[in-house]
Amino acid sequence: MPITKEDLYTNIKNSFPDSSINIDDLAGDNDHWSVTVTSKYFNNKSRIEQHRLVQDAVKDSDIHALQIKTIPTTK
Amino acid sequence: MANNISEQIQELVDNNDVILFMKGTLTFPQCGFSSVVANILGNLEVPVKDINVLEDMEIREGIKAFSNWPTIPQLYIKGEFIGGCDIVKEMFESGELQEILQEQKIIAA
Repeated sequence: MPITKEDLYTNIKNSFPDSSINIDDLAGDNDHWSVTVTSKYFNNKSRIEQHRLVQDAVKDSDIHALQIKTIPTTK
Repeated sequence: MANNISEQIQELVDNNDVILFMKGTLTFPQCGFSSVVANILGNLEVPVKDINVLEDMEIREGIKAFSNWPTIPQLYIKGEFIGGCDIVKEMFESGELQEILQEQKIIAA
């Protein structure tokens, strides 16, 4: 089920209040997204842990494809 | 998930230095994300054991629980979960993937 960009943004922002978020609709169908999230919550975490946090943040939305890039603030 | 699936996956991961759970095969990937990872590994001339999850529904669901990771493909190197398409691509571009493979003596330095 597709999701609006605003809802996707809100879901991520709620989990990482400090974050800056960039969202791209890859296919123009609200169902294939690319998100880049920069947040202190990723600091000192492995890439897998960082991605799991984002996966958790959006787990209730049924998105067909989500490309994730996470950037810690200390990098 | 039956226990024996997780045991079966553990055995595969233990017995193969580089193993890729993917949709399709290395020579005939059936998903863009699996294809990206297969291409990267092919590019680096890494010997890879490919597991086509489309042929085994139990492994397809089992690997997600095993790794606590919701998507396919999934790459393991020497028993360690490396990640899916986004992470592997990022690590390839930064050179980290090559470093791991060299450290593990899977490709020449």
